[in-house]
Amino acid sequence: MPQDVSDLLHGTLDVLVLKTLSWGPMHGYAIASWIEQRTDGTLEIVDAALYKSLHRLEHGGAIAAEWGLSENNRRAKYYSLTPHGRQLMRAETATWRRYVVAVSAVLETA
Amino acid sequence: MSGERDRPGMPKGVRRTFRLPWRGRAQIDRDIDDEVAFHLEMRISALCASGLTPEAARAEALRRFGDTEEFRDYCQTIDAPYARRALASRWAKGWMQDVHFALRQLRRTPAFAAIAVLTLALGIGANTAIFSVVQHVLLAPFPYRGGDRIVSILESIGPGNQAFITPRAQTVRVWQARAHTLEQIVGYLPGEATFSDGSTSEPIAGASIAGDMLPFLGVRPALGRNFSARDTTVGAAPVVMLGYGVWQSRYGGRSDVLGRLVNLNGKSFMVIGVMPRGLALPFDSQERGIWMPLQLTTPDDRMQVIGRLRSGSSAEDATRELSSFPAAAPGAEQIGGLLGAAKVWTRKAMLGDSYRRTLIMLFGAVGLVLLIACANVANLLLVRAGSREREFAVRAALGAGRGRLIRQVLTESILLALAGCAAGLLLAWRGLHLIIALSPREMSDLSGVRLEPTVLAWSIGVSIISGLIFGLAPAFLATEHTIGKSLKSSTRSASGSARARRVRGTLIVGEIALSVVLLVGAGLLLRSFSALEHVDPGFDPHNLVGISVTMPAEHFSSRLSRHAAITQVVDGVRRIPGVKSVTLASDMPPTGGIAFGDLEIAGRTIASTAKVSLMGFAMADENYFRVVSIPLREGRIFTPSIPPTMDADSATVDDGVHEIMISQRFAKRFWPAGGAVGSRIRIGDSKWNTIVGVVGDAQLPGDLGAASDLRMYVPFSVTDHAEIILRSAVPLGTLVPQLNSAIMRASPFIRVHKAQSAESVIAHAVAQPRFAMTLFGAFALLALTLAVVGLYGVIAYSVSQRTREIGIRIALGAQPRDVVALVMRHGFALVALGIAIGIAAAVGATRVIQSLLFGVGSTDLLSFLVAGVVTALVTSLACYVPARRAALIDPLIALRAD
Repeated sequence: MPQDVSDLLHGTLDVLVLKTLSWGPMHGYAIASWIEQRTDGTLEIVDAALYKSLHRLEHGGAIAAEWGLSENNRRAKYYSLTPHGRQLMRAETATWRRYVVAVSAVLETA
Repeated sequence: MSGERDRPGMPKGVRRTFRLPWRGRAQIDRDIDDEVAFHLEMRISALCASGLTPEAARAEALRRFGDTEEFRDYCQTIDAPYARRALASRWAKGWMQDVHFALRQLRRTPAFAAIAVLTLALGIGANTAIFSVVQHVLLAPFPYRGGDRIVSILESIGPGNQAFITPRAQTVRVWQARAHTLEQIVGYLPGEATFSDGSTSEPIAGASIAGDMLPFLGVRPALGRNFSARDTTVGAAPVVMLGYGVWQSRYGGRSDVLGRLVNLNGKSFMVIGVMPRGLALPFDSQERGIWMPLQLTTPDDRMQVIGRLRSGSSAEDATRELSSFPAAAPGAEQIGGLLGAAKVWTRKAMLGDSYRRTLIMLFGAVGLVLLIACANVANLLLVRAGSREREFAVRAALGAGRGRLIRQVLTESILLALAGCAAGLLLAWRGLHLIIALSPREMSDLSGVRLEPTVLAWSIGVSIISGLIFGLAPAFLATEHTIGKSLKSSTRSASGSARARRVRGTLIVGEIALSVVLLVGAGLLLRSFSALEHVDPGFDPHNLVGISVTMPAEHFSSRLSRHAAITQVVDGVRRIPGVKSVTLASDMPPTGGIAFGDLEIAGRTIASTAKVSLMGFAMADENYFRVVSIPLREGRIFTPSIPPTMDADSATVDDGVHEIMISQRFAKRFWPAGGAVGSRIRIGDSKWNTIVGVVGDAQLPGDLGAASDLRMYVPFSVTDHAEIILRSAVPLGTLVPQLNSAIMRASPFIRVHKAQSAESVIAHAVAQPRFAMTLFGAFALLALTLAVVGLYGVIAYSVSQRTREIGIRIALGAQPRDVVALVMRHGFALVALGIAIGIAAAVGATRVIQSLLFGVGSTDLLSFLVAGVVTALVTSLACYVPARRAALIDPLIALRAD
């Protein structure tokens, strides 16, 4: 369970990134765009935080990074999900769902 | 579920960028910046597309991003360990790449690799072999408890610490009780016994030790038990411990050997234990098969003594302390008034200067050989690097730094060196067997020399350093012109550049110089040895044989019986056909015992500076000088001693004149004007002896000690051992069986120790110089061979580089003679310079071995001349062959080729 607010934030962002990458390898900007689209602009992620999350996940072995040429022929860093990352994603998703259920249970009670 | 992937980690259609796989710290920072920059660009173009001005879009993108500084710090913190690990793995991967690449390159040119490895194997092999000897003899401590502090202790006799003797038991007891600088002192007595198991009997080396010896060494028996206090008391049941080798070879290593009886010298002993494997007493070069309990019957019994210094005490401290104890028990026999002076020897001190210097000299020689081998391989690499110029240029263009390329070349060199090391170890292993087989008997402790881990480590270390040495120059030169020039040029390559040529020439000159130094040294040693061999021993050793016999007390209780036995034996031997003459003495000529005591000449006082306390001493019967061919210079030979009669059983015959003969040097020293004959002398408090004759000097070559200078001979009187000396008309081999049977017939209880020829004794005395000379000569020849091969390679290569030029000359009318002269001039320049430098260096270098030389100075002209001439001749040949081939160049072909 997350220890404090920043951990909660980190953990949330991490699982979002992992889930996004489960759709396929993409670079950092594409991930940010994807999340924005999916949440209809509700979630505006601070880019620095996103990239911090990406670096953390990369060093943790959950995602792998590779440099490539983007659609407009620019050098970009592409991230992809590793098997370990896939496992992590499932675990974190399950944890998040339980958490949501727990919080909702408290908040539901009038 | 997930999108399809063309290539793992990449979206469809995205190409991977070409990246050289190293990611240093700076690279990681750049990556972070690039990633941020890309993101910002995408964001800005998206914002522009939705209507913002570029400046507004930029401001908005930066705002959206967040704190870039903080982000960069955060990433760097995270990346730091990653960067370190990445650096390490980059290095490792880089090395692996280098190694793979180097192996591939070497496989492509197997001939080159083979020659290089062979050359290195010779150099490294020789080095390893000699180092293992040096390590075993000079560096390694005894393999026992506190082995580096184990010392040998002897009593000093005579003034000036000239001679030493094994101490007496009572002296040892005083030392044991009172010494502080030594933490333990133990004694032992070496000896020989005849081991018989019913059918055969053979002499076996053994020693008597007390129960404290094994704990002193810190070892335990391999089987059974050590001697106890009871075993060492006189009259105890006879027990024995076997040596490990004897246990294996005679009893198959079976544990039922305990309790069995063995027959030694006719007596039965029970085996109670077996010594651990490889046990050799410190300072004892003999391998011993039998160990008996040390039973001292009288306090005057002498024994070998070893001890262990206390930590912090030196051998000098111990010497001083032991010499400071007052003389032992009152009434004990004094020797030269100096009983009690002791000397403590460390292993290094005991080896003797000349042995140590010989080993160090050999070590230096193989070092030079290795340098020459490295120079040869460096030359090979230089030539080869030249042909890979283009490859290096391309790699440099792709971004490889010069350091990286140099590392690549060095990796190749080190790989070659390690391969040479492996091959060299094989050579060293075989070579060691050879060296041990050739080594003289005193160096028998070489039998323990093996390729131990220390030696292996040293060998690998030397190989790697050699690899760096011979790889450095080619590496630097080859990567010199990495851009531009070599890609454009076609004829001028780096290996043909003046600089490379000069480097190659310098290497060859160096090789030749070193070879000359070694050849001069070998020549000096050869002449020295030859001088030693031709030293006149003072007698005729040809076909002279000496047989040592003993008459043990249990069969020969009286002088009478001993005299009778020995006389019968001599008669029996005399009757053997092939024996020309026989005589009796105490020792084999020209060896002998030592008499110690102050010399006194009747009617004269000897100045204290001229005092002597040590003289060579031997007993001989009246035929001795005739049989052995020592000439009589003055006076006459003493009359034969009176044979003992029934009642003259005492040790000395008291009445009559005691006659003595002395050697010529003795006479010249104290009677320079003559008149030695008739004078009376005595040693210490012996009886007065009258000199009746002076005989020629007899000594072993290289034996230039004070004791052998002054030699005395007294009439033979039989003790418990004797030397039967005979001159035969036939070689020793055919005589031995007849001798044995004759002796057995004459007196069955006389024990024959050994039979040896005088020639072998003399050869043995020069064994060490012969050994040094042989090895050194072999190394010198090896060095010359390597240098000549190197020279040939350089000249041949230079010819191939100058093919066009030579072709032009021939086309313009040069005769073959002229071409040969042209090439040889180049070669001669190198050779002449090399020889000159070599001779100059040798003048200084050979001073180091002056102390090992006999009869030649270190600047002996003949040796230098011969070394120079031999080198010049052989190297000329090496130049001539490629020169001849150059003269046969077809100008058409040469000019057409590029």
